[in-house]
Amino acid sequence: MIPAAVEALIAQFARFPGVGRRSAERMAFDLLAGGADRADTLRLAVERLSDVSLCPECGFFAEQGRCLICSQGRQDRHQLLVVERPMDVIAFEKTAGFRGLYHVLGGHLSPLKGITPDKLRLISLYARLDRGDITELILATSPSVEGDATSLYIAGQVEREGLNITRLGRGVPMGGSLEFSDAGTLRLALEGRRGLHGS
Amino acid sequence: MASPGQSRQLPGTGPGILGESTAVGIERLGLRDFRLVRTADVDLAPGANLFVGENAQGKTTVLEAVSYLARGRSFRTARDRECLASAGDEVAPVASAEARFQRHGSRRLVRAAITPSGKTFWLDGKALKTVGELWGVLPIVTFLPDDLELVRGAPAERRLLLDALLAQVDPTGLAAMQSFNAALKQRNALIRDRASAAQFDAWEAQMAHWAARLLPRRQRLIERLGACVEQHVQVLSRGAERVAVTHDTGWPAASPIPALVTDGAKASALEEPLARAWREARDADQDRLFTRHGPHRGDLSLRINNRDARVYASQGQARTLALALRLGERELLEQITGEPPVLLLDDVLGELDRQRSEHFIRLLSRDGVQSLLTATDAAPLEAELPIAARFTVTGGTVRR
Repeated sequence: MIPAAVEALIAQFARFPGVGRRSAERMAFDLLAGGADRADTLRLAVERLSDVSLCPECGFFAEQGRCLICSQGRQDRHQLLVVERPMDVIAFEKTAGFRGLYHVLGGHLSPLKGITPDKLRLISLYARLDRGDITELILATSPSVEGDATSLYIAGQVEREGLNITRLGRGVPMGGSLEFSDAGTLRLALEGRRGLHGS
Repeated sequence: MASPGQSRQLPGTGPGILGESTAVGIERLGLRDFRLVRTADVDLAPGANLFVGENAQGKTTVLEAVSYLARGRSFRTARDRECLASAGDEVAPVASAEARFQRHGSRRLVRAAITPSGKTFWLDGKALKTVGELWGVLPIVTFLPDDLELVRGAPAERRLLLDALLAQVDPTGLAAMQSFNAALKQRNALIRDRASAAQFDAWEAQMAHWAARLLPRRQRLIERLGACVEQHVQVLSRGAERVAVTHDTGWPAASPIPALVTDGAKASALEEPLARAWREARDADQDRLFTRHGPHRGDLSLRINNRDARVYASQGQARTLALALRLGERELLEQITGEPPVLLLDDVLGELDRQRSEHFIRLLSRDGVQSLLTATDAAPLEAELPIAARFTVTGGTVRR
């Protein structure tokens, strides 16, 4: 019933996270109704993705050579924040509270899934640390057993004089209600409590 | 409808910390294409609900559906697909069950759907992300014909009781157990891969972190469970038997871990010794291709008259102890949550002698205790126990 060309497009849309068959159909038909111009604009936008690569320095998305963050004059080039995915960099940038550099691992360790240290961007991390400019390494892997193990592994590999290794604090979300926080989060918040005065 | 004023205080319990308790239990239970039952909608009574029928008519299916709603799994099988009703070669695409129940003064709705590709649960209309979120919402205790395995069977049988109890009363303990299990699987993968020591260090540190939080909680739970079980054995045997229920931590006696745990060491004091113990066990674990020690190998140690009950208990002693374990589980659930759990009894009262069944029936007759019982013959039960609602189960249909 649906022409094969449209069906092929629907199948591609349906592969996106959070998009089911129905939404994929709506997107495809909407594009069809928008005429040749809209389809062309989309085609060009998709084609331009081939210019995007990973920054050889940090592993974030870049268009040519190094990414915008690495090539910017960042305020604090002594802080290096390690994350799992490029999307995490965007999340930290949105906080506007971090002015250091990033390093994207490309995932977390999971021997069960065959993700061993050589599958992550660790060699380039060690090389950056070897240059000696970094004084604080902030490990911001995902708050999970796998993320924690990845941080522990890295911490064990990079211990060196003059390098302060830290990790993210954990607690209850801002604006959240305590009664709706899950037990694990509350427990971590309790364990990580701090004095009201001072730090 | 019961109001808070109508409920009476249960002996030995305070009101639930979340407020005055009201009539507790399942009010309505529905099944669709669930194993032997094509369709059933049952209004349950607050006390004893008796399901009577010949074998293979669907009595146990009703209890099994409640087990799915309370724990996300069957007490009979780990193969969820068996729950899909079938006629000849035709298998239903989905088996579902739902229950409306009251706990801590609020009415809730839990729903389960099982398909060949997986299972989904909803609580008050909201889909749950993990089965773990279901645990503790509707606490149950099962009494099954093969409960003797609790005494005679492999450690896994007792660990299941222990894990189920922890999962229903201690969300922090459950989270620690799940995280520990996740890290353990990764270490076992490292063992198969002959990975580097640095990788072992990282995963063992995670295992130690979570085991150090799990073990003290399990220890305290077993101490409380043990006290309950010991009392029930006293009553059931009229003081003839003495039992001791203690924590087997899953480490050999020569290891420092068991003493640390039983002496009540805190998580912070356990983490380092645990990490060291796994580090030292690495070579031998690699030879055996799995992690030989840890909470995943933990057990309830059962001694009767100072001898290992697994090996030395007579048939009668084993029955007494198995029943006492379930009664202890029940009592502890009530103590901790402040409300009695729903009891599922699959054809068990007929098996008990007079002394054991009297004790049991006293408990089932108590105000506020809801139970679902199955039997092939109603008469002996009705003679001893006030039955609040009686259902006949034939050919997969349930009638009051």
